[in-house]
Amino acid sequence: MKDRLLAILLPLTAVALLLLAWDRAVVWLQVPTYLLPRPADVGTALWAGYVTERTYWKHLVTTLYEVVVGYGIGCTIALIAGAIVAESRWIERTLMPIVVAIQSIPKVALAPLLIVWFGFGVSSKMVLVALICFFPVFINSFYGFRSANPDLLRLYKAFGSSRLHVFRQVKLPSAAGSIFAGLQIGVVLALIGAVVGEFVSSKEGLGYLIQSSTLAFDVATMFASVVSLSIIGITASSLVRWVQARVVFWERREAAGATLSEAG
Amino acid sequence: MTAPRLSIEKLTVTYASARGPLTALRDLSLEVADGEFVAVLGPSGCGKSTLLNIASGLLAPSGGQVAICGEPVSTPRRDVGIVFQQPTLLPWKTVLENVLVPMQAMGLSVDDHRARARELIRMVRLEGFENHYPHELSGGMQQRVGIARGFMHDPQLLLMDEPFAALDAMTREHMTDELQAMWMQSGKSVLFITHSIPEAVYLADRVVVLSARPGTVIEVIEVPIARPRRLDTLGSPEFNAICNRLRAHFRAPASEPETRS
Repeated sequence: MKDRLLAILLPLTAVALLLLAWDRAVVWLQVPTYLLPRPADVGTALWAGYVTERTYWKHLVTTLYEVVVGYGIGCTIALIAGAIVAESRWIERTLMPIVVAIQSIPKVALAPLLIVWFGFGVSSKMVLVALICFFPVFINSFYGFRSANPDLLRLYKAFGSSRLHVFRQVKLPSAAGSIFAGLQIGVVLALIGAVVGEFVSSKEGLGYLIQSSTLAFDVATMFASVVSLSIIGITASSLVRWVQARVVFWERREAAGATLSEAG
Repeated sequence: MTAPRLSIEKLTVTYASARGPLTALRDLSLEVADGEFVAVLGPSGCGKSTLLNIASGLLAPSGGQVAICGEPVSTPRRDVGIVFQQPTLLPWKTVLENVLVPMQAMGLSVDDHRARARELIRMVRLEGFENHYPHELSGGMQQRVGIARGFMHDPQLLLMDEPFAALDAMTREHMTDELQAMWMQSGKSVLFITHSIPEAVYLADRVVVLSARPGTVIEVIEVPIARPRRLDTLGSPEFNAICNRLRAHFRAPASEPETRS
């Protein structure tokens, strides 16, 4: 109980001290507020943006919309592609070198091109998000599907199971842990994709808000946007972790079980 | 006379490898009669596991004949049970569900066979653990689930690939006894692959000794010791005489001591 309390209290104290140091530094070093606002100014901006004036909501919703749809599309395609490539050595030998080559392109460099192709609205950002999420999920699911225990596959094969049955019963659950590792990486990248897309050209979204407020020397709003983004990021990756712990329940405890059996 | 449960005649298996064709098994012949327990003993790399893949129909021989009950084996057969060296369980399924895997893999109703699965779980002394997941069990318990699963679809022939190799010595001794009891109760034919001489002699009616690669039968020894064999069998002169005779094969200058686990 005491440990749990400390686990919450210690980081909270650290954050409080950090905010205090930030605030004192701005005041004592006389940093101009157009360079670095005081923490309280950021708080005021957030309060105004979300509670009194409610001007941030549409930006938050736009960015979330781009992230959720782009992430959904990118991950779905990546999973299906990972499964198909893992199922066939021929497809693997044909496509893998190409995929690896494309993977080395920094996807954000394509942002201007995607805006030309898909317009200034949300769709170009969704495409960028999907593209950027695709690779980690694809690679992780591919290796996940391939990592299924060969003896288990033999066993199912010996009983004359169909390919689809083996896939659903053995390969998919075997890959689940690895797939979630990819989804975890993808969720962070998705946010980057959306913000970069908005930087290049947009009329709405937290990326747009950061850019427009920076140009207006409204640094408090810029910081408030960054805080909003980090809250989205933390929430989204915690959500993925939460789902992972429930879906791939055996992997976390498997590690704990190993330690137990060694002790016993 | 009826056809033997498993008959292998002049079996040759050649793999293509980077250094040219590699012969894993050459002119190997052996038979397992109905209800017989045959142990296959050999140094590492003699193709013991290849033999098992052939017998289960997962691998096609390069030459020779493999037949189960007189029928040539060409594709995987459902009347054969396999127990692996590792428990090889599905970590996302409970003990009960894991034992039921053969039924599920064959596309049969799992509900109809739940009673039998529970019976088998009792047989391997895991009652009370039906709803546990593999990661909640010890290695020995997991292996027992694997054995129960091997019996699940009531195969007349059981292929066991060093099933106790990964267990600690004490669990191993205990499991060997349990397997003997289960085999005596069920009257199944067993092809048991091992690299432990005492284990082979303790369990088998006949011990087939394979040579180093390319694996071929160099000796077949009958074990006329009465059943059920018990711990004191291990100390008997009869038992030791057979063990020593087998050991002589592995002491030849060309062969290396068995270390694979």
